[in-house]
Amino acid sequence: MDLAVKLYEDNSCKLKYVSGVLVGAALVVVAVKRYRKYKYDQKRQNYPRDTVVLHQIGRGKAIPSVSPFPIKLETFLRMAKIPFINEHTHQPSSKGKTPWITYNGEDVDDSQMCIDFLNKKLGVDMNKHLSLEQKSIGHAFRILVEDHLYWTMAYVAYAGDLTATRSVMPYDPLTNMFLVRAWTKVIRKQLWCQGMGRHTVEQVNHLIKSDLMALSVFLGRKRFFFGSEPCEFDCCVFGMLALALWCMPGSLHETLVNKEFPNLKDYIYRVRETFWPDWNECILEPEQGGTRGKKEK
Amino acid sequence: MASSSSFFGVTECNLLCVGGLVAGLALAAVAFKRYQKYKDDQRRQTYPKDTVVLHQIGRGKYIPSISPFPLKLETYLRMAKIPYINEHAHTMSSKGKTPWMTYNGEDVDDSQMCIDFLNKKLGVDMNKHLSLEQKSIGHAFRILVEDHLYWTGVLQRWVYDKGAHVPEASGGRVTPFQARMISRKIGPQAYMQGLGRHTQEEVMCILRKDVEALSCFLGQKKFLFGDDPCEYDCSIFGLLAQALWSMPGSPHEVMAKKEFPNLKDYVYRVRETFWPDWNECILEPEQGGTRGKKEK
Repeated sequence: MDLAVKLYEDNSCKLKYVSGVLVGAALVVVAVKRYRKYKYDQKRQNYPRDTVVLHQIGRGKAIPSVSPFPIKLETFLRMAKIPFINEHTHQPSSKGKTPWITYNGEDVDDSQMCIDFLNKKLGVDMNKHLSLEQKSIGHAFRILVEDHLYWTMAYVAYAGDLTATRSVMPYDPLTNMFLVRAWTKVIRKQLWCQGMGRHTVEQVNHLIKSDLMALSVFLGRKRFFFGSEPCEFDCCVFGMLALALWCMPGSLHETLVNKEFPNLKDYIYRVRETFWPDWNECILEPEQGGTRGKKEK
Repeated sequence: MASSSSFFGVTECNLLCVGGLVAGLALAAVAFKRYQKYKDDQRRQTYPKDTVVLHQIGRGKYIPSISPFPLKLETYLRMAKIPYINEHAHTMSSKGKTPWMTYNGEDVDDSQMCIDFLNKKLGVDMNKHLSLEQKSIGHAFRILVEDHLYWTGVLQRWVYDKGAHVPEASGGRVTPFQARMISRKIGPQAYMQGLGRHTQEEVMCILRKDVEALSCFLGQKKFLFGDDPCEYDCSIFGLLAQALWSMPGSPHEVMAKKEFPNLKDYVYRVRETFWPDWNECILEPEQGGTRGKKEK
């Protein structure tokens, strides 16, 4: 009590005490950071050689990821038969993005840059059977899917009612509430800056229909995007459309893919059967809130 | 004698003065806004019937607009032979975008929504000669140009060059101070969009892939889908024209002029077809433009 009174009355002592606490707290923070870095470096030393370590968020309830880009990248690794392991983490890359990869000590982020890196490093070319014109068309469709259709999906998932979005997130209710709220704030700002967020719901619905119709018309009756053999572009189209089918319940995307453009639905199932025979093992178990082992609706 | 009461040294009289000043300024602002709205309504009543009023920023030094979307929309109006007049102003639409248009009292913004509106209203279809597959491919290329290639241009102009060429390209309409202010806002926007998170080298690589895809698909064709132009040519022209005439020294200009000459030929072809009065649509020398001067 005497000490408390002394501290209260003695200003210089109070200042020393407060600064001591602050310095102590700062030292603790630095020590924790260094320890975490040490553990992280230890973990990286255990990564197997000549194996891609795919850093992505955790598995989803009905789909291997609630984000299209990890599915795209993982589909590519399976398609190209590149050995890989998953490291499920929320740790983003240096650009603040996920997924990202580590290969023999080298980090690469952005799903397309990862694919380009591996193509160059390992001499892979899943598009070698395509003509130059087909590659240019495929590139345009990849941009349509990743830089336009994607934003319509972000709009539907985050710009309005979040009930459906919360229902597919693979986290406990409390984490769900905080994460979705935090992501919503960021994504709404992104939507405004990108431009999609400035449209009305009717206008976005029109854009969704235009994009999906273009994909459906181009695919037609083909098995894969450019014929009977799959190619790199199928990975990104599959990643995005899989989300529409299994991760956006009640959305216009889901309705259009399920009912109005049945060739897209058949296509998604075809890619899944070809490259994800273990799909069921790549989604969460019922005890974790997932649908593993349950009959699909 | 009673003295005036005070609150921390500020007398009642001071507070009344400040309050009066603030109220006066607020009233002046409201009055000014009302007056602007009144003038705006007066002007709208003079708009001709069945004529598109295209609201866009002013003409450029070398090019009718230093923004691709007004150029796209105006090219479409010319291609579809829809009567229109220009209203050059910095007034934004309700979504904070430009260009936008008014047609018989109805406002529409976003260049593609304007085109869709007019197609529906006037029964226009500049894509009727295309197959369904060609339309799907055209749609994909339009998105590539407007939602991807466009952002590489934004980064080049506003982030890497920090808006340095914009005052000259706009004929002095945009001051260096304004260009710097805009540049500061655009950087974070590009980061939010995603392309701004890449290094400059990575963005140049992305740019090259987009331009290569366009050049490869165009090939030796006159327009994107053959001998007849279509709606998609408007948006590709709008963007590539920027590379040629309002981004001096940029990788965009170098690629369009030297590395992919079929794109340069294409841009000139669209210009000759739909902009025979190009020279009248750029600023005069007295206004900082190059009207009448020989092109470099």
